[in-house]
Amino acid sequence: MRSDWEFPDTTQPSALDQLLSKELEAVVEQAVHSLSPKLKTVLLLYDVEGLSYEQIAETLGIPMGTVKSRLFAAREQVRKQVEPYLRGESE
Amino acid sequence: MSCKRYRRLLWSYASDELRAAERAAVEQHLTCCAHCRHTLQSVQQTLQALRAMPRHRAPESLLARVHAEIARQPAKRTAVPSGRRWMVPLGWRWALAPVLGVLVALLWWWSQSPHPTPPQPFPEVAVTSQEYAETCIEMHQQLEMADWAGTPTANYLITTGFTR
Repeated sequence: MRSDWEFPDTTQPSALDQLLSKELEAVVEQAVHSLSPKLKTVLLLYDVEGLSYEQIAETLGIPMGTVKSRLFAAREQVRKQVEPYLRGESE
Repeated sequence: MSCKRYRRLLWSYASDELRAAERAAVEQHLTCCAHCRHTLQSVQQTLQALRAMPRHRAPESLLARVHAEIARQPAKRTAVPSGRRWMVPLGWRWALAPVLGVLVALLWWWSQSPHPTPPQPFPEVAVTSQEYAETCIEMHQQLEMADWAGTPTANYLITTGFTR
């Protein structure tokens, strides 16, 4: 038995996990691009670019409530498109 | 609170944006709702994938050029003489030409066609009603005298002008 044998590091994502993560990102990206321009803009500005609700409202010239409702609608549309992939992955 | 309401909160829960009371309410609901637990799982995975999306940044040189161009824009606008801002652009002037032609034709037709003159007010009565009544009585008396008298009196002849 080799004395320098170590347990695999399970805290780091495996190659399979990384591959699945890349696949999921591709599915999400496709779902994002299928959104309407209004929803896509708010989603990308908030979740990808990290702008605040106030900054988005000011930039687009819309009320903050509209920003929140568009963000929720966009996220739900993306999740519903991604969910079948996630179910297939978990099975 | 219904599952639909919680579904809206699940995104904020996954982003750690909820207040303590809301967070506790969501966690309590999750302990007894398998459907929302399943939804939360897909919400977390979707959110993670969204945040991992590449941020397409423009090169710094392009950004600098865009900012410089934006900074120049107000200067171009103010360069237009303020006295000419009301003027219609050339394209719109051509589009308005037929409308102006129709208006001119209508004005010419209206000036040529006979149109009724507005009713004129009655001329002001030169005498007062009292004077008019006195004149009527006087004439009436003279006529009576002329009808009934066999020969016209001197007064009648003088007032009616039959002096010859």
